[in-house]
Amino acid sequence: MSGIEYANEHIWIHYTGHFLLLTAFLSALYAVFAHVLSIRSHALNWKDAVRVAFWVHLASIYLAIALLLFILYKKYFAYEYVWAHASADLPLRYILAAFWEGQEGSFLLWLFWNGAFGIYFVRQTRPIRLTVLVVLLGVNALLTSMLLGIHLGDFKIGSSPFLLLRHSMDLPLFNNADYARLIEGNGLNPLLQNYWMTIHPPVLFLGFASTLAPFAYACAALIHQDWKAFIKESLPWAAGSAFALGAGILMGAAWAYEALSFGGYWAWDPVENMSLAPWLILLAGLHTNLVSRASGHSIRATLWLYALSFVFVCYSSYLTRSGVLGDSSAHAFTEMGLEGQLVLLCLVACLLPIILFIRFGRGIPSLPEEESIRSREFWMYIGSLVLLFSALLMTFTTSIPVYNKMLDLVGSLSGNDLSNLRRSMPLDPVAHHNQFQLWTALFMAMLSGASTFLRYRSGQSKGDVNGFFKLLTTSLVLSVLAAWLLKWLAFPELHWSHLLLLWSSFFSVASALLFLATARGLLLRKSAVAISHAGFGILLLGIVFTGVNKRYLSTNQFAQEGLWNEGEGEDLSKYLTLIRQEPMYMKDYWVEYTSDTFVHTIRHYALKFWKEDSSGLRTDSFTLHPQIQYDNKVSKVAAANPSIRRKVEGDLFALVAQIPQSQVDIESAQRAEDSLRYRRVWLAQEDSVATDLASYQLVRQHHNLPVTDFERKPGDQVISADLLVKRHDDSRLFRTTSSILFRDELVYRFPARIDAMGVRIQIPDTAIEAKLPAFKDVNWSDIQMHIGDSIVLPNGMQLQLLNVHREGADSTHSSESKMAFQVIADIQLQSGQEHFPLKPRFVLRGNQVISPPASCIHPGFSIRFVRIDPATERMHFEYALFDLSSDQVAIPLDIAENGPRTDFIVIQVITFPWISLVWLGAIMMVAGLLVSSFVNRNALGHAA
Amino acid sequence: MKRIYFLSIAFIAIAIGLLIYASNDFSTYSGFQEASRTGKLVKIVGQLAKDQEIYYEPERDANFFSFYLTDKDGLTKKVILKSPKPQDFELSEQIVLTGKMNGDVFEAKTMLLKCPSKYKDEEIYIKSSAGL
Repeated sequence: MSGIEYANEHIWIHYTGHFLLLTAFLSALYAVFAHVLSIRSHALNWKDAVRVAFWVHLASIYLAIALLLFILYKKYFAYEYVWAHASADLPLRYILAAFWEGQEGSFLLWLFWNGAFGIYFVRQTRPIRLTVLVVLLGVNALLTSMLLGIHLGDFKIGSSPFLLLRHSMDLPLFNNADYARLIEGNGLNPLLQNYWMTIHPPVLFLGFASTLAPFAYACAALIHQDWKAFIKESLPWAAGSAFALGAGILMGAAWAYEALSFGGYWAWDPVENMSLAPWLILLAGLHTNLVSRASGHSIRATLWLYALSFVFVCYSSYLTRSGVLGDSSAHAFTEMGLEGQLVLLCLVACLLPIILFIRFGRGIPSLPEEESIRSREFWMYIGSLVLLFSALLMTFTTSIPVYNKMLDLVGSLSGNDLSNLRRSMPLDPVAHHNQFQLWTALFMAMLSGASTFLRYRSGQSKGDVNGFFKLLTTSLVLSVLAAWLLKWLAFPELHWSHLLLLWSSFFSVASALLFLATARGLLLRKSAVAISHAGFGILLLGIVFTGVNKRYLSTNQFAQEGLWNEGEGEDLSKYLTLIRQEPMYMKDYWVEYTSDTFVHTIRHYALKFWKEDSSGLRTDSFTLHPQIQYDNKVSKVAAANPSIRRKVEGDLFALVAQIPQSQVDIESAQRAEDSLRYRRVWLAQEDSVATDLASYQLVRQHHNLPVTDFERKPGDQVISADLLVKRHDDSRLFRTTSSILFRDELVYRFPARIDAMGVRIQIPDTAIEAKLPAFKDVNWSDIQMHIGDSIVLPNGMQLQLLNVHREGADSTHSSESKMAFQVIADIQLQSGQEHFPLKPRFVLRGNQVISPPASCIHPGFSIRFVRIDPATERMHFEYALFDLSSDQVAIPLDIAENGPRTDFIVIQVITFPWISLVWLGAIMMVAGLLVSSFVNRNALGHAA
Repeated sequence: MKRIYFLSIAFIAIAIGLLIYASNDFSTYSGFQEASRTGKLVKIVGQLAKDQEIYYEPERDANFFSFYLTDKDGLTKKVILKSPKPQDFELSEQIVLTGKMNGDVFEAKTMLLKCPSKYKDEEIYIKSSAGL
């Protein structure tokens, strides 16, 4: 294919993109070497080289991002990335979502944030800050290498977003030089066409990327032995990073809850776990950092925890991007063949701090005296260990696919079959993680509550101990009371472990409030702590309330029992079948599927809920609108979007879990259509016909459509039949309408559907012939017109010849005759306010003239184009009128009685009591972190 | 020895203990035969037996779905699941079930499908109005 000169590929983008990414890679690499030399030689000019390299790197990355956005915006489908993630009908607001849907785009997003942090560091003069910048550039070099798209034989380095489609596929299409204009994009995954997809990834990646700052500070501190700067400066970065990552995780949970059909906000999915684990480690580091700032203890722990947090971010990237998770996660990226490079990233992130620690670690100052057991730092240190512990536990289980991978590797190297040692994820991951994390959460709540009453370095002065115990006892008593009261009032069946958790969360909230109430000085800083800690307690409360009380309302109260083993009754029937307009009673509520409408690619359902009091009055009535979303080509169902009724005391969540098979995809619809056995009957007005099932009467013929949302155009020819169907069994009557619409060459059908009987009635195409009078029965009248002439017919209708044009051959008969052409007249018929376009044809084939009539049935009118006078350019036509009484003629109807039902849906309805507490608590937690980041950053400014 | 070090070692000891305990939850894929023998909750991986009946009639019972699965040892058994039939079920390449045998029928609690990837690589859509 190399010989072809392709058009419309905009190939300059391909070369420019590659060049930019290569420049970004090399400049970052150059900065690292320049810096190593500058430290070795103490030469100042190398420092300037680092700064120049940074700006070159930054410009290249940002230009590459702009370029990728540009081709997504212009929809250049010749580029694989654009083809895979965009489509011509993709709205502008999803361009960003398309940008980071793929691996390459999300790497660019990561690089974007790292680059933004670099802008702060590049303007600093302090040596430690310049080294932070260089560590950042080193990581960016590794990240950029994932985008290089260089092939060395079979070896591939990175995957470029500027790859052309024809580079990655070999198709006959690419023999066409102008192929680029023929391609249509695949489009954004419909599941991701959602505002969350626009806001969640940038925040999450801001969180992931920002863990690099504490990591880089840890490395730079070791190199420069600058512990003071490390302790002070990494704190606001770590708090800010914990805020961003926390907010990202929170948004992910909210998305999972409200837009995806997981039926909850947290499922202990590997992808979720691996975003939570680095966050917990970062929080652990943040706490030891506070300890080290206040007391000088725990510098070493802080170094390790910050380093580990970024290592876990890299490990998380490896898990989600390498394809190793395979089928164990619902939302990992698709595989890109970058596994080797991702492993390299993890190794570098691991080895760099280890090597630096071995080389420089001896200089870390440690205090001779011990932390007192009554000091705050002691318990904060314990708390950090619990956080770390929690992260390690969830990672341990999440890494099962990695163990299998290593097992396979060892097996293939040693020649043994170790496949019987392979393990899979726990049978019930939620129960598995909960049984451990319940205890870590409990400890965290207790420690966060208790440690706030302690003072830093308070072991020396025993004066505070009394006050401490007074407050501790107060909040303990308060929370025990609250927990028991709640159990007694609301949850009599609460398990003791949940009661314990309830108590610890009350304790956490109560002590945070008391802490704030008794605070003297540093109010903003302390309120940040109180907000976060109280938030954690509220989050736990919410988790207990929702987790214990989540209930499936969608159960059929009258479902057949005995189908399942006894003792499993609790999860018997979580789903309920609803038939349109037939109200059903489920737990607590009546529900009715009132209607559904299909707009663009989405089917909107209306579900009406209400309660009935003893007198039969409807109370608490509301309507929810869950959706079924089809893919971009409306060929099959892509997603079920739930609808949620939000209230402070709990949400009601409704999802359409299943729809009739014939609506699921095109193939099923076709199969359902093909399986129908139609029989044809001819009915005139008031005629009826009977089958074994029912009798069918044609009540009336007319020209209206049974649907209102169909846009009619002038000239549309409609035949409609109102039918009365009577079922023999129970004499039940059904009124329905079947229609057919003709528009130029197209036919639109509106078959009548009686789901209760499985009946479909459609009008066949041939009905239009039945409606027109036979050719020989018509009285034709002559008229002659020039182009532009208008004639008023005796009955008041007006006829205008707009234009004529000649076509080379009668396309439908061209194979029969070599010498053929046709002249087509553009005629407009006006009857009252309406006008109808008619296109009679004059066909000359050999020496034979054919003048087929062009007709409309409403009003009844036919016209033929019979002759052209070459001398005068006068066109000769014949027209005929027939009156509307032709509605009396018999028309054909196709009736099938074996159609599947299409008027039901299967729903799932769940209540989540007090889930608002989960959101409130989580938002308070991250908000506290944000405040803390600002407070500590300002403190930095005062110190400097 | 410093108290902190002592505590850290204690934590590591507890951690190792808990990790060993946690690894008891790690499961292996078994087959119908083992499920029949033990009668316990197991995880089974296999393929849909496409020539056998797939039954789901939501009009009658939305919570009853049954099909036949061939496990990794080639044994085919009837499976029933108490939830609606998932989308793309027929396209699944691999099915992972957790559940237990009851008589000759496998009662599944959960089901995971592995489906072919969303975008088939060699499928390019050409614009319908190619003359533009």
